[in-house]
Amino acid sequence: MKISKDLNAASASAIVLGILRTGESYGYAIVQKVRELSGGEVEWTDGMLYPILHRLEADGLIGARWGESETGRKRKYYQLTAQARPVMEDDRRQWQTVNAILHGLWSTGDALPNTHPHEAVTAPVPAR
Amino acid sequence: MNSNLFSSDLAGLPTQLAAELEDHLMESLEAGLRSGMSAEEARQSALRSLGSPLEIARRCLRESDPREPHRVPMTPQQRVAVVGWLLLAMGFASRVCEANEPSHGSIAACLGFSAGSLAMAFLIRRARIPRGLAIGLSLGLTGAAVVGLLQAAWHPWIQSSLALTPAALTVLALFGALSGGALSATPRRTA
Repeated sequence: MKISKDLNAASASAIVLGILRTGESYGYAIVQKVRELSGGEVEWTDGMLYPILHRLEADGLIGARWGESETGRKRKYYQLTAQARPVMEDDRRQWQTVNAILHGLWSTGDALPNTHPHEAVTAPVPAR
Repeated sequence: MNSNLFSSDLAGLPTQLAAELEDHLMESLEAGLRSGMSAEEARQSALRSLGSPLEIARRCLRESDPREPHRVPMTPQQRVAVVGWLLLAMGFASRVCEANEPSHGSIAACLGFSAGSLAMAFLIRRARIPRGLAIGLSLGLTGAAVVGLLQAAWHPWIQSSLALTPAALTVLALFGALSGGALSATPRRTA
């Protein structure tokens, strides 16, 4: 199942903040974590992540520090700041609200009605 | 592993972003090698997964540059703080212009308010004002206001028209502290 581009874009910041809530991480690991959590259903292009990280950093929601990888390469690690908590709480409430609405709408029947868009739904005419 | 494998692909990028993307590419390449790809296959796979480094750099610069006004709106508290200081500057300016011999302190306070308010508005608009600078500017403007008012207290032409009571100075100091808090709050970027 492919997630639409709009839904990917809308959820990306919340997902990144949620991953960083569990601890400090870096770009490649964040992308792999998204793949793991989604069971492969969500495929971010690797390049999609970095503008999001830079925007969150510019907004003050995440901080960054330079460290070293296991092989001695320079690596940029990201972590949540204190300012992220109220933002994440707000995001959580918004997503839960939307989820509740959709769940309520989609749980009223087992399947969507099988009607042609141009067919009028009318009651059968009683026989005289 | 030789990290120069991607040097040509990352040429021209800002140094820190290039280092960050290079780390990503090397991780991706190592994963490809572990899965059995050849070195060149793993390298090409890493580059395909990442996408265009130049496009990433362009988007990163746009995302981290707050100069687009519609992306970093000023909060109402910040607007109140900036307008408040400007009104104080106008108030002092009106008194200074009316007087025959305005004191140096009054003139300095007037200029200080005007310059400080404009500087704060500019920095807030750019979303570049660090917390320490915001508090410092606010306290500095409050200090200038106190000095200006104390200086003006000894000149009859202002003493007769301004209420230089401790309550007035307290209100001014409180306003300075509140505006410092408002200015140091990081604005939330809208979508």
